[in-house]
This record gives sequence, C-alpha cells and structure tokens, in this order.
Amino acid sequence: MGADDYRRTFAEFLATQPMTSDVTYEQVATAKTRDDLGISSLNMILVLVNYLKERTNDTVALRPEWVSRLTDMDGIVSVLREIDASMAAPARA
Amino acid sequence: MVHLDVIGHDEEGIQVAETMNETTTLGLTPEQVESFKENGFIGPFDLYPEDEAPLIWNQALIEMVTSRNKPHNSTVINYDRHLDCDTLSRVVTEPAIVHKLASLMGDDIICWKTNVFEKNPGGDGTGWHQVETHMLYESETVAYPSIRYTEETKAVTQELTVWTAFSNADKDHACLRFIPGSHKKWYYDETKPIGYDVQSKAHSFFGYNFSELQLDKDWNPDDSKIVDMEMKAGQFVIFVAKCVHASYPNITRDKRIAFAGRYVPPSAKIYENRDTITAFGDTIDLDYYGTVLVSGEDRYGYNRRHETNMNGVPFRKVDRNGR
Repeated sequence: MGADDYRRTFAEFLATQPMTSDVTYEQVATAKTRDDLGISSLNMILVLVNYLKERTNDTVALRPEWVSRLTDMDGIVSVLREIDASMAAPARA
Repeated sequence: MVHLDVIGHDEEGIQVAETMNETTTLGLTPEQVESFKENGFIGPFDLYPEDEAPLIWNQALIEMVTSRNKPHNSTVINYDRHLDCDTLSRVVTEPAIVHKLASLMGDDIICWKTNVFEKNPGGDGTGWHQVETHMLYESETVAYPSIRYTEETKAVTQELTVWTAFSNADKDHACLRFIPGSHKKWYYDETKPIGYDVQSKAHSFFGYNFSELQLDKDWNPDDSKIVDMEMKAGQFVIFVAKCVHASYPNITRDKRIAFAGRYVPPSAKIYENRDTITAFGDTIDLDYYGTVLVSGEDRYGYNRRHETNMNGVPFRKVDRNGR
C-alpha cells in the first residue's frame, strides 16, 4: 500500500472513533501533523491502541518507539506500515 | 569506601558476591550532602541512558492511556500516576534515587505524590516559587496544606522533590532554575489563598500568580546567582521545594517532559482530614489515595499506604544495606 492508501485507511478508521468521528478524509489527506486534525497526543495513542485491536486483534502490541512518531502524518503512516509488516511477518518460535 | 557485599547464593548454594553495596555506591557523598545543605538542590544525576529515557516515557504514556485502574478521572490534576502505571511505579522506587534521598532524609521515606510536568513547544516558563507544605489553592479565599509535619527532624530535610527529565531539558527546552541558598529564608507566603486563572499571562505558576504571595514586593532574583539546571533525558535533580525555583519557557518545537516524585518521612501527615482535593479548577476524590514506602519503616501509621500499585504489582522497597 502507498502512503495515500494508508491515509485513506487512517481516515476511515478515525471516522469510527468517538473522539475523531468528525475528521474527514480530505482533512487527513492534506494534514501535515496530528495537531492539524485536532487530535491530542494521548488521544492519538488511544486511537492507535484501538486500531491495533481492530486490525490485528491485539496480536501486535503498541511499541514505545512508535509513540514518538505519532506527531506528524508521515510518522503516523510509517507506523501503520510497520503494523501491517508486523502482521505479515511469520510468528517467531 | 566501596566494598563488595555478599548478597545471595548461586545454584549450588555457594555464597557469591554479586554487587557493590548500594548504600555506598548510590548514596550521596559527604561533600554532596554539604553542597545540598548550602544550595538546597543537588544534581543532575544519571538514572536512565539518554537514548532509553524517551522510550521509557513513551511506555508510561501507553500505560496511562490504556490503564484500567486510573486513580482518578481528572485530566487537569495530573497527580499520582505512579499508582497505576507500572513504569512510573518503578521510577519512584529506583535505588539510584532512593539511596540519595536517604542520605538527606534518613532511612524512612514515603513517596506521597507525583506530578507530570510537560511543557509543549512554545510553552511559557514557570514563575519563581517556593513551597514547603504544598498548599492547595481551592479558591481565592480557601487554601489548605497537603502536608503537616508532626515532628522536628535531625536529618538535613523532611521534604524532597526528585525531578526527572524524560526529554532533554536545556535552556531552550525549559530547564529548571534555582536560587542557591534560598531555602534558608522565606521569600513567599505559601499559606495565603490565591486565585486560579489559566488564561492570564501573570498566572505563571500553573495558572496561579505566585508573585501575589511575595513577601517583599520589591524583591527580584539576583541574575548572577541563578543556577540553570540543564539536564539530559534520563537525568534527575533533587531539591527541597522551599528552594526558590522556576523554569525557562520552551522555545523549541519539542515537548519537554519531566516527572516529579515528592518524598517525606512517614511522620508527616498527608491530606489530613480531607476526602477530596481541589486544584487547577478541578476536584478529585481521595478514595484512591495512599503513600508508597520506598525505604525503611513506617512507625507512625498516619497515612494510608499502598503495598502494591493499582495493577497489583508490589512496589519495590530499597533495602539500605543493599540486600
């Protein structure tokens, strides 16, 4: 998936979350930072926790190193990409 | 003198020397104690590697957000998340901290409160202030102390704050500032009620205008004596809150992150006769409240105490013999 696809996926997920349900795809497509979307740092972590629950059924845990990357959209997209990669990776013995 | 200490047995039951005596290696030197007596603060000291500290804080954030055992629901009063976040439970009981506190307070120590101090990019500095009983300013006419000290002490002090930086905190990133020796004299009357107005620029002490409490309205800190406590992520400084202190504004694009633990001996009474506390325009119920014994014994029983955090994880207690 390309960056634009991840932005669309992210926008669709935000629409399902009570605290971000009014965020539109157009806003996500043009946003540079999380602040542009009106999402606080703690709410962003909560969004990602819920995203992991829905997308991975909690088989992928939120990693501390991801949290620092959740301030700008490029960072958020890179984290979503890593989550997909983690799901695709074979389970370790 | 540093010496090896026999602390355990290996798998074959043979006693082995595993570690230095922590009291000696992690406590303060006599010179550091003297420096603290003179200045009212000592540090910075290393706690976590600079590159690990932000990740430790990120883990704490994850725990704060996902906690099922929050001590209270206030988003304004950011107290006491060491009670429900395992990572912060470990921070307040770190031997590298507790042994230094014991050098100044004696062996019996409780952690009575923690605060999160985040300064967003562009955030204002914190104004000069000094406190001892940590007054809570409920309204413009009502204020009450958090702490009542019930006895004198032979130790250097009865009250200490440990301020740990989880991001770099240099002058541009809102580092702490101290006036050395200012703990020997009152410059402010912390007991007078003051109003809360987070919108006012004059209210530079977390929404309060602490300068209203200044005893000599003409007093200004001597710039030549101010110490700027620049710290790297993962370092901490110890100070007595009566030492006049402040912080620079954060003029960078990075958030400055710090976590403060507050410590007193068990002879101090915390939130005496209170069921709730009000601060920063919000009120929380104290049903959750309890202190954490981080070292020594509590011979008084004045305060509720948590043996485990709210997730059921036991709090570490430092053994001053290093065992």
